[in-house]
Amino acid sequence: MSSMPVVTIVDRRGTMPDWVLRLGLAAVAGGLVAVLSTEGAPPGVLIVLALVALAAVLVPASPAAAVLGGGAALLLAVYGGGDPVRPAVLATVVLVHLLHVLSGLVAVIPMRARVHLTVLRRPALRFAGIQAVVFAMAALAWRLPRSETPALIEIAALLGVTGVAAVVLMLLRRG
Amino acid sequence: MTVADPNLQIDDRRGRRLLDALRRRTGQLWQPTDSLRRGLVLGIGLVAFGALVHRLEAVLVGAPLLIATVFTLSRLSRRGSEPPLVRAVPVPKLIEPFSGRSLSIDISCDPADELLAVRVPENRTRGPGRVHVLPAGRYRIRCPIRSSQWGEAVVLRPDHLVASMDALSIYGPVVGVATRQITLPPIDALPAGPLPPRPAGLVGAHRSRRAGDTTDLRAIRPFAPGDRPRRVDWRVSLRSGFPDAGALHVRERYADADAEVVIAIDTRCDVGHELVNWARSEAERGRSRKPPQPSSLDITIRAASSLAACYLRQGDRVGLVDLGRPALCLEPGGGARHLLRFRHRLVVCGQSSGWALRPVLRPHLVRAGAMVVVLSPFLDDAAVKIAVVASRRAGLVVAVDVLPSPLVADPEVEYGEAALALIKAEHRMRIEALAAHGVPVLNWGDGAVTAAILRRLAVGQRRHVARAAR
Repeated sequence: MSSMPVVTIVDRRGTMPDWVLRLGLAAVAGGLVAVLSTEGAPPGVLIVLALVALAAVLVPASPAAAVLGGGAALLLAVYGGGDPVRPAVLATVVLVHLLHVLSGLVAVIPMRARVHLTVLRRPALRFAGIQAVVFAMAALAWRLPRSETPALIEIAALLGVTGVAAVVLMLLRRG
Repeated sequence: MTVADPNLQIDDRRGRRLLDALRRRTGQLWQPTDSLRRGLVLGIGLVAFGALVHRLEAVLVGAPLLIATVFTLSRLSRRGSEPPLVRAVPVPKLIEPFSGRSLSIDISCDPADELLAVRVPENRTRGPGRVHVLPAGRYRIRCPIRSSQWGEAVVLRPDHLVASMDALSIYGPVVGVATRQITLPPIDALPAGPLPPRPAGLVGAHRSRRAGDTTDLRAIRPFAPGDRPRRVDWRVSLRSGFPDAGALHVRERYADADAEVVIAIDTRCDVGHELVNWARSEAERGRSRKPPQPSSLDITIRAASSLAACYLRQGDRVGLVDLGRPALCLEPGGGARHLLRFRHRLVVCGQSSGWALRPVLRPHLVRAGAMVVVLSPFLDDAAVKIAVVASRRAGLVVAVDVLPSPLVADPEVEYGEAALALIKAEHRMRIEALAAHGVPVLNWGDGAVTAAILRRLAVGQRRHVARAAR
């Protein structure tokens, strides 16, 4: 144990209060509702989503964030039209992922804690990497011809999703 | 534990279940969070929904969540079986005030873990501190601490929680093992002061009234049987006519004697400057954002510690009596170890302070000829009575008034000023009563006053000697 590197905590330099992350979560949730409002969703649905967003901010360790993310994706699919790789969709992709990451962090960080900025480096790099992969997928999809998908590919896609679910279940049992 | 031994396997399974239940209760188990459920449900659900209804939007929104969750789960599946270890490095039980020290916490987490929330002590703040969120890993946290407050306190309690990537699973929260440390009362440097010597014993640092072997001249008198030849003063003897007519004269010197000091502290009440706080609990007082001012108990403990150190340093014997808790008394003793014991006992007295019906100073604790220093805010007549009774029994009694000054009236009530005036008047009457009974009363201030206090102690000693001679 004596050979361990030593981190000396002297003061609050290089830290931020926990409410900054909560504020960021509120901004992301508000931004998501704002993006959806540009997609032609009915006001009643937007009000419900705003309430869910409020719940996600106030109680981050709750299903509210999942309801908000799922609701946003469904609204885009139901009310949105035209190009599937439009700016609102890309913004929603980023915001829902941010909502997921920030909710997870805020849910486990106690109130009045000091968050060292070095904590956020690895999640930020991972977030950027995953977003790069997803944006590459979006660019690929955008360049593909918009013709009817052969049934074989659709079956392969569904089998792929089922395979991913099976892998997840296996990993869960092992973990 | 083999396959051929099924009973052992069952027991083992039961034991493991019991262990898991205990760990779940104390948080020492990896548990999935809402993030994991959200990532799985939204990730798989949106991708499957998008594939079924041919909506790329749903697939794109769900893809990052699915990728992040699968990636994290794959890393978690390779995690070692060792649980995260967060433990405090042992520290000494007793420390000196104002001594810069550092408390350390050893962290040992798996590389797959990402975030560690741990309670870390903060400088100039009493208690286990606030939670800091740090990267998980394998390192040692060092927290420099400098505290001026005496007493026993929990200085370190590494409550912790470890989270995996994206906080998909957590280990904890685990309540850490509390480390308690005693900060000894500080010692203000006081100049050594004269004390009344004890009649018994011919050792020590003070001049006795008896004849002895020091270098201080007491008298020159004619030679008497039993006198040592080396004490003969030849000059005086020859001047007086020795050996023809005069007598042989000898020089008589004083003897050394030690002194015994009994420090009696009144811990029955602890009051500060502001009368508004006198009836409030410590928790209510703690809500104030103002820096804490020394209370009467704080002044008492610091003064007792300083006086004891001063007199023990010059070789005297010092004892302690808690007027409110007589069982916590400390027999008079000397030396460096006794000073440590004395200061530790002061901390115990400070912790167990509280109202007692009447102060008690048992006679056997104050030996004849001992000096008694009564430290009290003198807010009731009982403390005055104790000092007066002790002055009739002991050699010299000195009362030290530790009531904080100046007192501030309660601004929230209309009779605040009147109450303050009444308290001051009663206090003044008690001080005058003490003085009338021959007990010198001193006011303990900061370091600048201490020299004056000891000078007055010397004056008190001379008066006492003069009174005894009369």
